[in-house]
Amino acid sequence: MTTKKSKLFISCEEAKYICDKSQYHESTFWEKLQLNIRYAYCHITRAYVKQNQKLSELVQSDSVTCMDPKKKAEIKMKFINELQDK
Amino acid sequence: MPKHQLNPKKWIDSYADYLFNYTITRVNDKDIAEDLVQETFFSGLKSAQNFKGEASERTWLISILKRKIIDHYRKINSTKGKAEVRVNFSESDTEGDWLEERVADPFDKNAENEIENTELGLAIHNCLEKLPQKQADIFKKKTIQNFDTEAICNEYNITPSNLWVIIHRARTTLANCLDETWFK
Repeated sequence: MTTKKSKLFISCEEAKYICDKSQYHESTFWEKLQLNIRYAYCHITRAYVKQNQKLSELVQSDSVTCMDPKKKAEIKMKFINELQDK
Repeated sequence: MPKHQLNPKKWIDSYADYLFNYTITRVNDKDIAEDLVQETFFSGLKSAQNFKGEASERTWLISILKRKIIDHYRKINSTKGKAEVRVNFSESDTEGDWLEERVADPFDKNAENEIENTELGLAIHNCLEKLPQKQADIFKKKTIQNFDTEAICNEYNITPSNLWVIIHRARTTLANCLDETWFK
């Protein structure tokens, strides 16, 4: 027997997946609606959303930076050459 | 036998971002920070025979970097009066604006906050080092450097679904790691 998948009610895992996308503003209107419905009755989803928002806030704060990928590649190339010459 | 060994081939991939984050909070200039990190790697390679293996690779590289940062400030101080030390990420259109002037409430940021923010950056990079290299790279590009999904998918030859699975795994590991190290 196959179960028909609901369009409106999603699983916890699906909710987490949408929540991740939402952190980057890449979830669709329909996905947001599905997430909100799940959010209303699932405490696990609520906890995940809260934790995920906190994580985004921390990671996207000004104090977290990375080196420019182009610059990193440039340094890597020079460094590998130096290593080979050694 | 020494506890730790050097593996210079992995230095750039493993430590460049951590060292850069460490430096930028101390020198406040992207170009200078990049140069200092680059010099650190080359100095580390030159003095690799001095590595005793008592500290980890990263700790050892940080000790070299600290000396580079001190040297940088010594050099600035020796040319005092000739150069103006600025504390902003200078862009042509904002040149002349001081960072302090652009902060909404300067009294809101006390020394404790500053230290906490500096440590936060390092704590996050610490946790990112625990992820598989590809996962960490994709997470950094997507979350910290704000690359487009499409650009990342093209670069790594993955589908958007793959990307979100990778991001989800990275976020879960990172959240657990920060729970243990940052929120404890």
